[in-house]
Amino acid sequence: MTLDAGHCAVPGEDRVGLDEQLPTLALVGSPNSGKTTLFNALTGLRAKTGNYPGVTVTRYVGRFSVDDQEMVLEDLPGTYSLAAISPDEQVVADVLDLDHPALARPDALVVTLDATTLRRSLNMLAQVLATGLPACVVLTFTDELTRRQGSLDVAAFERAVGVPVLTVTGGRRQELGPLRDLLLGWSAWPVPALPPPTEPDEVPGWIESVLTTSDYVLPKVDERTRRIDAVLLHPVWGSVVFFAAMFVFFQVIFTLASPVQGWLEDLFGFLGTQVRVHVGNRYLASFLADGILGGVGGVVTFLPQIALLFVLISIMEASGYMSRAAFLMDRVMAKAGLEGRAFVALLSSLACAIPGIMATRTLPSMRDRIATMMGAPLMTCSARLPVYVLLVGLLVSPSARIGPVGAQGVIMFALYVVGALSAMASAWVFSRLGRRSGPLLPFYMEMPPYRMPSARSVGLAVWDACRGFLRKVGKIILGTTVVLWVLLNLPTHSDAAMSAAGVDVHDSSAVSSYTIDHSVAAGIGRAVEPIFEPLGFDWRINVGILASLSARETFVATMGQVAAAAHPDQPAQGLKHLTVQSGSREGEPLFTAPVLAALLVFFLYALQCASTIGVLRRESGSWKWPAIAFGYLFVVAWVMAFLTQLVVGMLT
Amino acid sequence: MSILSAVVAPRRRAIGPALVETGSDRAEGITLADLTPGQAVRVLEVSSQDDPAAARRLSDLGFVPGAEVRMVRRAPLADPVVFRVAGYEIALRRAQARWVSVVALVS
Amino acid sequence: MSAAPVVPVHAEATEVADTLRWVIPVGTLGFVGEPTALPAPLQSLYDDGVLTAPTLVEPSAVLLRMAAGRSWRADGPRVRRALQAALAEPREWRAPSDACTDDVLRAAAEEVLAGEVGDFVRGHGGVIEVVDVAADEVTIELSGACAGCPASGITVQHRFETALRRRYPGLRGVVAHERRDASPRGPALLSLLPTRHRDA
Repeated sequence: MTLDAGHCAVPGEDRVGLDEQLPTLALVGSPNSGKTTLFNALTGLRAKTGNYPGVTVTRYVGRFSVDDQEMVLEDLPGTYSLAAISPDEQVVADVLDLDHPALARPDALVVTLDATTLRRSLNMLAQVLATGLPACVVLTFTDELTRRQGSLDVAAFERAVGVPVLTVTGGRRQELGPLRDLLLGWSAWPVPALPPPTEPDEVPGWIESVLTTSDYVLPKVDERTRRIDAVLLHPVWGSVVFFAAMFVFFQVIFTLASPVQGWLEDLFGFLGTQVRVHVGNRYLASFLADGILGGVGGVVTFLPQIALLFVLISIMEASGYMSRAAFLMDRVMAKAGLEGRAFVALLSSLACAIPGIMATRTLPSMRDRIATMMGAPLMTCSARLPVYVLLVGLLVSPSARIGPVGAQGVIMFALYVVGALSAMASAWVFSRLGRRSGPLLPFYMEMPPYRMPSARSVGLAVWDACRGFLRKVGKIILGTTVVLWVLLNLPTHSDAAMSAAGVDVHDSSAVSSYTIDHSVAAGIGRAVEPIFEPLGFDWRINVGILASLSARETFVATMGQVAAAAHPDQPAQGLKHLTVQSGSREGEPLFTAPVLAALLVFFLYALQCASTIGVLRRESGSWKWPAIAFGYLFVVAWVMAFLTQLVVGMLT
Repeated sequence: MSILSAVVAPRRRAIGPALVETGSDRAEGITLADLTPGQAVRVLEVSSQDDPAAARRLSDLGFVPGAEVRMVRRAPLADPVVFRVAGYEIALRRAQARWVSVVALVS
Repeated sequence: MSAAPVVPVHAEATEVADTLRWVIPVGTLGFVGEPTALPAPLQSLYDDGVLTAPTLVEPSAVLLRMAAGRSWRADGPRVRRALQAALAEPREWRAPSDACTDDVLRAAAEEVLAGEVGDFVRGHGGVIEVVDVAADEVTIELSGACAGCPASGITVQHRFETALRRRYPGLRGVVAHERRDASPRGPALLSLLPTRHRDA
């Protein structure tokens, strides 16, 4: 059995923590039934994540112990039925399948049923009991049932379903004692002599009989939820609150994370300086400082945003507000072939596409996830801003005006709008392309009552996301940074050679400019000149584009190096003086209006971000989609830049 | 055989009055898509010509013949719509709601 | 468009592995005991050797017994469908010749005694018995430790009546008597002095 292409460290055990020797239980239940809260309460930090073989569905397996007996617990994806219509649900059906070649069946099942939605939840129980595996029922939200004036005779219910039934409220640790004892004795669980029917026309009769025997009183509509929804889903007030909430959401990710990111950048900058001071060899120092530390720092600086994003998303999901937000935005998202929940992912991408792409996990449909992931990089992320600021500053002066407003501001706003529209269009195209792989997933979304999120679950979700990001994406970002460092800094030149070439070895900007001009990257830049010539880019801009493959904002610093600017962080002055070195425009300024506009548009579309590629690889499960994204975005960027250059050339 | 054949097979059969695989001709019937907020109805049948899997999902969600459904609210742009069924609330797009034929409840 | 709605049933285990207790809606069959004739769907299962005698009808359940060599796992779904078809024709079930509706009420009352209400009384050291069943009315008698406690008398009667009404909706009323040991049968005066009894 292979899982996630990892090798088994211990015979019989795999990376996710499954072990043939230990009893393995699996949690089954519908979404919003408190299943994952229960999983977290039992396993906590002793949970590992991996992947199910062959699909990009995350696998959560944890350990817990009762009376010195260690047990394995797997949190299966939430599903409404074993008649699966999505890859996540298919996983559940496969795990419970007697004959599945790659997945071992669990020893017993723990079925979580929301006591407030029993009439629907029992449908799932009927299907699960039909598998023949020993099972027990955990009734969740029984406190809510009572609060909403519902009731259930649990003893009669237990007799009626024929398996052990336990009630829990909120998964508090104290309550877990009886549950853990029950789980320990899994091999002694009674199995119903006759499983319930599974035919869709017979199940409602079984459900009705069980509920009547158990004196089930349906809980009344949750008053608190009704009152809150009267505002939050009001056509006018609801939309106002929604946009305010999204604004806050976005600001938190953007602004709250910034200071922390700043500290992390300062920390790595400090470390870099220390390295440069203390390491004798200039090239080794540069490699360690710019290559390694730069790469690691680049990875770590994403963590504050990712952590914040997942805190907010977990709270939104667990409290129930996520479905309200998705409900309000669904019509708009449907125009792009997506659904309401994609809005949150796209919105997050305005701060940075990395957390935005990770946020697509909230979408149940794989096709929606891919389509959103393909569109997310087009949202104007914060890394584009330094590039935009530099180029727009070269394009128009700060005092230029269009009507009453500043021209610079107008152009920036236009870039944001074009980015958003392109993102929607791209998602629409990929959604349509994906349609050929299967019928459209019917849209349905449960609107659960508002519930207090558990701090523990939120914390674990954040921890999980950050850990996964560091492990998987970190490698890719670090690798790319190192590779680019090599390209930009090699071959090395001795002081003697540089002096002979007329470079003042004590002028660091002259040295770095010389290094970059003769680097491997410059060679590549010259080699690809034919591709970029129609856009008006010369080899120096090409080097900048190559360097910005690691992260867009490095374009600014790289151009500064190329221009041998006195202040590499504000290269504008130096760039203005660059002239074309050969060809039909020889001697003319390099950065003319058409070239600047084309460059802006190029950065709007091109996937100049190794981190995004890394996250796409992780979230989509293979290199196929990042490769497609990079490829199609490059082509679109080239074409749009070309058109822009033509049009602006005609207008000026 | 495996659970899949036991559970999934019914999706592909003609199951009788509860689920109809082919759409029936209901010229005068109302569907969930035609309701106004607060209206309560009883489900007659769930049918979808194009997508039997989707119809099966609706029945797994509680939209079975005889079930009581109440329309709760619409989104600001008329789609999707929230219904109350089997003791919980669920949002459906009108395209899917159209597959559920209902009859008004006499309260 | 649709056939008659399916009769809701579910099966519960009994102490005997070959017999299942099929819970049916209250009042479906107006008798208790072993029916003398069954509707065709069920009868054919006997004829095919799937089910074997006895078939017993209770106020809210039907006990069915699987024949030797057969299993509920294999033949259960067929039995369920046959039972549901049979319950859709209640008039095809022939009651035992000496049956009357009081039998159903008495059986329902005995069920309640054997269930939670009886357990509650017995758990407090009390005794509860059905004394009389006539014309949709039941008379019960409380004795033992619970007798003489005004609170428990009312509680028990109310719980008994509620549980019984669920099994027999046509119940007109429950009369409760108390009998303290060593006093003649008949309505006992409630003691005005506190009596020693276990906490309710």
